[in-house]
Amino acid sequence: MLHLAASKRLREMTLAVDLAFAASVTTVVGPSGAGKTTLLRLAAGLVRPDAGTIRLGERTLDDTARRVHMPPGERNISLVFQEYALFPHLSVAQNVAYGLAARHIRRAERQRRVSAMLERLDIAELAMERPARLSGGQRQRVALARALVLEPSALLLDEPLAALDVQTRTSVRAELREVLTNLAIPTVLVTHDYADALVFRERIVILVGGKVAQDGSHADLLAHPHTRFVADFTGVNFFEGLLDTHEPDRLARVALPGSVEIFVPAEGLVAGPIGLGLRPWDITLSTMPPSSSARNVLRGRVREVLPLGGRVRVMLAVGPECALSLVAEITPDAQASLDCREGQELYAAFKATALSVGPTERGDTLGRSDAEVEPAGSRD
Amino acid sequence: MHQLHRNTGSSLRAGAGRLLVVTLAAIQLLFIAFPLAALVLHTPLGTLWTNLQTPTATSALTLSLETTTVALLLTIAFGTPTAYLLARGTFPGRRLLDSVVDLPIVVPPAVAGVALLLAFGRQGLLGPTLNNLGIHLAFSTPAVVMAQLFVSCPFYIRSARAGFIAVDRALEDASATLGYGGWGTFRRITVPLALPSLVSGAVLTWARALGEFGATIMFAGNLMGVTQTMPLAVYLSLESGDLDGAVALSVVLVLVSLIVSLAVRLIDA
Amino acid sequence: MISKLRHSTLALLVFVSVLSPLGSNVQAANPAGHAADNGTLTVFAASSLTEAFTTIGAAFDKANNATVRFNFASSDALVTQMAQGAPADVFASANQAQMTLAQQKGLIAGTPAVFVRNRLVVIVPKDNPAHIYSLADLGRPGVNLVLAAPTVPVGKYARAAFQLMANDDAFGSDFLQRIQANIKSNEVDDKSVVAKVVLGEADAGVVYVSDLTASVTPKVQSIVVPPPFNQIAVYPIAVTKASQNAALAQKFVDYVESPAGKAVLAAQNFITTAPAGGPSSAVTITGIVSATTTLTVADLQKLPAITVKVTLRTDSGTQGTYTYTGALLYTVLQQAGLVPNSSFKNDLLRQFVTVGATDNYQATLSLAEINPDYGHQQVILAYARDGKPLAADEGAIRLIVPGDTLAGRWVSNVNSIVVGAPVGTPS
Repeated sequence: MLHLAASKRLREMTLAVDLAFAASVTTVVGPSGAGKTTLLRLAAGLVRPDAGTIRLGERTLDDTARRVHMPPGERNISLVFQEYALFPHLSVAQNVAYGLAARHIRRAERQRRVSAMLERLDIAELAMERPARLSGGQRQRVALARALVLEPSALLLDEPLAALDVQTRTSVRAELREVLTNLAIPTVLVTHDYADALVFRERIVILVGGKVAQDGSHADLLAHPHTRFVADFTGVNFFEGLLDTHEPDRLARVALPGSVEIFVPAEGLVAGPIGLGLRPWDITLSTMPPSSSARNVLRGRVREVLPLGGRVRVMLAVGPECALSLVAEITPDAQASLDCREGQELYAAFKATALSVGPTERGDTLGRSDAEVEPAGSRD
Repeated sequence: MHQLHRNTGSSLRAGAGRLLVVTLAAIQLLFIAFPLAALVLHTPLGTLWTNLQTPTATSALTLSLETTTVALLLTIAFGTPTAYLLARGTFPGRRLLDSVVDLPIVVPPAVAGVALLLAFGRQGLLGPTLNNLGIHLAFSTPAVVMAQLFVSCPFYIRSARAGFIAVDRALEDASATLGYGGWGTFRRITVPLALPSLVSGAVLTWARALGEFGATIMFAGNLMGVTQTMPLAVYLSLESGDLDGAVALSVVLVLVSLIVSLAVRLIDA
Repeated sequence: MISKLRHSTLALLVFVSVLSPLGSNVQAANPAGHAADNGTLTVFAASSLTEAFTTIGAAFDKANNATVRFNFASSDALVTQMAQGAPADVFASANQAQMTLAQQKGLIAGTPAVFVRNRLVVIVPKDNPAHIYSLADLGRPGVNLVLAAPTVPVGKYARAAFQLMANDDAFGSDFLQRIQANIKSNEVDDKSVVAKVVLGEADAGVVYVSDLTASVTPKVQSIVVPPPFNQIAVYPIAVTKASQNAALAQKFVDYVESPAGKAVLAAQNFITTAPAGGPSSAVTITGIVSATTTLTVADLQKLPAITVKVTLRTDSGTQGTYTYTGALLYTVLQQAGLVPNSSFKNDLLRQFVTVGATDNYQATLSLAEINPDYGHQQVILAYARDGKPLAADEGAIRLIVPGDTLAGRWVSNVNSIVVGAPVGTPS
């Protein structure tokens, strides 16, 4: 288990957390500037905490009281950097072998392990290539290979999908899920994009302004957000589906799970896997099929109704099979007039233009511009 | 018709513009190449070779090679950590230090010579101390190395610093997390990636040291075999009317500089 | 399109015309910097003439409404430059050899004239770290001796002087080898040698007496190179063949040779070649003194006046008895500042003073003779005889040594006083 109970003063705020990461995948999500990267750098040993301790299993990595600081190289913690930090002057194989060489592992053994890892991540044919000639997705795999070949006791990933273009992200997200799920070591994945968190929904830590806003499963966060920010942050709808071929300047069809079809403006999009985001309050609910210009109308049942202060969150299951989850938010007035109840049949409608491709353009979330949501661009 | 007129107008303008550019460039390049050609073509090859074998010439050549090599090695030894500190360090006054390092380039060599005298000369600030330690720099070969070092080390430091800055810190961090400490990362990541800048900086430093005159003659004096480097030998030969001797040494200097310059280009590519 | 071409041509013309008055300028004697009506001269002169010629140039400019520009460098460098086509109207060299070379290269018009002489002097830093008190000390192992390069006039003269010293037994058998071993640098000109000594880098240097300018003298001590070894540097001056303004160039040469020019040179410690036996108007005191001083009659009159009554006797018989009034020689020396060497007991009793005339007649007295605590001779530099200025053949200043029988040491036309010390260190 990786345990961080430490604080670090940063330029604009202080990071102060007490987090324990078990041997599974935890996503740490938050807006830019929340301290996510610093958290990883503390765990990796690249920065020292101002106060507190960091432990991994039996070993103490940092203890400010007793002036203990284990250098990064000795921690057996691998960090996958945001832009992968592949060494440009070394080949893929040499990159992956780098940490093994640092441990003085002999050449034959090194080569064996490197080959095995490259095979496992399906990039064996790239062994002799230089990083500059690889695509984003390939580079990500090399970075993972380099990190995993050392059989680390913990794995840290800093915005692993941020450096990829929107459409690559979707396929890579799936691959990442596959690789990370069965690692059996504490794995911390940091992202500003809640869509990434949804991939590993068992444990999500929301970090805002250097403090943990909430820590729980996606279901917990969705059902019982502690703050408005958390509610906004987590309440976003995110779908992964397949975009049909289409004519430009027209709407394109996206096939979602549960036999649901929705339409999205096709401009600039390429057919294939696609991720789409939809804000809860962009959905209108009605008891009768709506007669509006909205191109997406889905029929479904209400699963839960959650009053959250000034608004009401309605969880629905929509589509022909009622299999796709949808979260909508309406005002208390609307709720009063609709009288939503569990089990009720409703129509959920939203415009094609309400969908955003690859949810976060601003780098934060689909959240409303709240005071708590900070603008993108500043590194933690 | 109207359209046609407009097109020929603009292309004529473009043609005239191009001609002007080419002409100016040609004049500039000729201005550089012509005097050097005059130098190289002055003496027939055989006479040139003979002139290079005089005691003055051989002594100057040897001395220049020895002193500049030592100066270069010292520059690399001390300049590399300096450049790294300036590239990565975040301490107050770093920008000021950057400017200070640039000073020997801006300051006239004669001024550098006076400064060295006032610092290390007999009556300089460190004079008494050096004297007590039994170190006499006046008119010595080490003084030549010091003069060369002073005027030429900024080239290396500037280039190395730019090279180090260009190395992504994330790469150094990655190397650290993968198991290498400071020196290991420096050796395997920072230096290889900064190498083109380091080499071109070293080459420029060496070339500058080779051509150094003003500070040398002022701080170290001029004595064959001890302090008379090639540029000093050229100057004194010329002064005393030995044009051929001066030309021979000058040609060597020009050729060496040319080779050095080409090498820098090829490395950068 | 056509108007644009016109625009750029016009711009080019303006650009070029603005750049035309480019003229190179090494040193302009006329500080205002603009060319005066009667033209511009370029004078190539030996470095040792820097201060004197700059002053002369300024005066010449004013008097002739001209502009004189100077290029000061070692004489051999100047000849090389002129041979390569550098434009000069006048050339003033620090030795005959370089002028002859220039003539051989066809650079000189007419016959060069010698206009001034110079002598060598050895200088050491003010604090004399190597304890050099005599010429022989220069041969002591470990001394950092700095000369000008052998092809530079003052470097050549210095080496000639050392050769003469080597021929003298008093200096020891291997003097020349020891000197050679002590030479630590060959500078490009006399000024560079001076710089090395002033900065304390060199233990000793050989330069010209004229290099002991007002700013240099306080920073160094000088050791006299006595006549047997001293070299007389001869400075010829001539108009060049390439001169574009030969008339003005000749005017400059004439001005240098005129009394006004000579006065400036004399003030800089050059030996101005006055006609043999001509009248002196001032006496210059050099050698082991704190400050090189030049005194006129008026200056002598400011000192306490001493009157002596003496009988003038020569080989031809008694000429008469006169009352001479003047300043005590010892007082004059004290005013210039006698410099006893604290390393030697009663050093002043070692030193001597040589009084010279315009025709190079010299007489020597020991300091002891005229020191009030010892010989207390009432030796005076007289400027009046029987209450009136001296006779024509006596000049403005005459040395009177009352104790002497014959008047041999009563030097007329006194123009130089040199305080010196013996060659060789007492063992």
